[in-house]
Amino acid sequence: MARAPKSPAPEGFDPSTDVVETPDPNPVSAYLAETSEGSAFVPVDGQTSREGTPATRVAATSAYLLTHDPRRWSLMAGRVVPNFKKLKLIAGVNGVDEIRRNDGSRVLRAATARALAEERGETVIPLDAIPDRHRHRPDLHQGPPGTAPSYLWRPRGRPDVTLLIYERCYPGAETTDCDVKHYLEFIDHLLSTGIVKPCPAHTLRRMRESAVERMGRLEDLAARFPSYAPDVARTRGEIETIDAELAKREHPRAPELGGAYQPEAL
Amino acid sequence: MAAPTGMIGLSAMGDETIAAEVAGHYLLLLADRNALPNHPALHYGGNITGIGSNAIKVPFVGLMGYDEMATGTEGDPVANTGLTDNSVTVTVVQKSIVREPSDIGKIIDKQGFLRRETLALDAVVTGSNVMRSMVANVTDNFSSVIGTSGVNMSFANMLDAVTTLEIAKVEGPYMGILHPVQWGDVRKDIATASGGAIQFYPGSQSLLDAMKGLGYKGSFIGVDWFTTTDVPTAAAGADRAGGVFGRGGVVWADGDVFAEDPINQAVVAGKVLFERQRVVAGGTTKYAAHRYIGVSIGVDAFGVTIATDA
Repeated sequence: MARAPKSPAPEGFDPSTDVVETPDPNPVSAYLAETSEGSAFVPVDGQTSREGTPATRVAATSAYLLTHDPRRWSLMAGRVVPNFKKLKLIAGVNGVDEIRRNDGSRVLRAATARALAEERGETVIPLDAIPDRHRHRPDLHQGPPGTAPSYLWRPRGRPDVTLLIYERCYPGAETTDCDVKHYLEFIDHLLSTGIVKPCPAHTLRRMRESAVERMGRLEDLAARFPSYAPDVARTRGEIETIDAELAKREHPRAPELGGAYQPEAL
Repeated sequence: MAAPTGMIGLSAMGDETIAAEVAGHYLLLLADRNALPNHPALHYGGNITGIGSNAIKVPFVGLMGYDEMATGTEGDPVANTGLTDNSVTVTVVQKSIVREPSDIGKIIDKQGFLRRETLALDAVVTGSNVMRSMVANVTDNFSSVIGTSGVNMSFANMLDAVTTLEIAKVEGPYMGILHPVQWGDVRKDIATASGGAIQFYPGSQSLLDAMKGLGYKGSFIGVDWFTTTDVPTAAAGADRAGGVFGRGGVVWADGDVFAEDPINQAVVAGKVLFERQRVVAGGTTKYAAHRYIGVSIGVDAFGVTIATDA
């Protein structure tokens, strides 16, 4: 916009034809007083462009509660860990019902599902049963102090996805992976607080027998297919892990119930 | 060679051409569209129509050889043998999907996927999918587990699953539901490293030559296998947990639907109520499909979960 020069016009300056641009130190629109207030807006397309972060593409998953079945155990990263079940909060599955309140909101009722699970001998893991050092950590999707902790989280932009806080997903990717370090800390917390009892010795023995049998088969395969050698090494490590866990038990061969019985002789 | 002067080319026909024309056909986006077969292992618990509750209890009783005879003594009465029983409760709920095309959308619809008949077919497929999804979300919850976390599924896992069920006295036929990752791991194991009887088993060749994609894979080692991406994860995402079960391992129930208004309602595939509602003010038409169904684990010992690397 042409403005009149503030200093005397230079020699030969013709205001009818010459335009002098002087930088305004305080660039404010002349229409500011007339326009409505607002803020910058980036449309959805702009948000998902190269400058934006796309939402994760993992498959939709329902909310759930973890339950522990004392008969289900597995091995992970050199540890014997419980193989949790999921009490899925899906209406119609395993006794979960859904009702509609007078205000139109829909509520899931999981009491029957929880009762059926406990009847089967399972322990429902409370949602807030995470270690103290995991609470209020943004990297584990926890809120600031004052907010309720939970072992579940939902990725931004995906209200149809519910994951464990130790389950990582990535923008634009369809896969997830496990945060093994923190997941094992979570397991340790459940064991130390008694929510989950340690793996029974008889279960460990059965796991060992299965691992030894698998070891033999893998060694036979590795003799013909060298690519199976890492599997042999891994299974050997699993057997060592189970042996270490068995060694912690005081009386690994003591029966858990009952006493000696002498049948009557005829 | 330069274009001749005055040539009426595509670039000069801006008023006679359009940017693009929609093709006369369409392709479907990726989705799992396979329905579960009507398999004997999926035990039908009953219908809630007229029973006064949306929950149906299916009893399991210990008869027909469950108990053994006791040895009797001449003249002495034999003690009674009690009846062992159990039950599972299946809660039936409403599952729905609603589509609402606008009038102008239906007017310009070239491929016909907004037509009533197409949406009715969509209702049938979606109604079948809901049962598949619900069954896949219970088979990961059996107490018996086969497989090791983080380790690919192998043919040995399949054999172990069958053995576990036989030891538990589960009658066949068995049904197996696996994630495609699990199925692919087994297929690779059989194709590249099998020995013993399996390498000469015609089923192994059939497994490799089977039609690719999701859904029913055929019978293999006496189990009817089915793959679906609905199989959930386990161990904080490290694994996929499918399952194998016999009759009674999974129980389902449903409710009947009725078309009270034959002009705007129809029962499709026997169990899905498909209906339409005109939204006058907005110039749209709603097409809704409803199915009433519930699925639960039956007797826990009737199935085994296979949890292997995802």
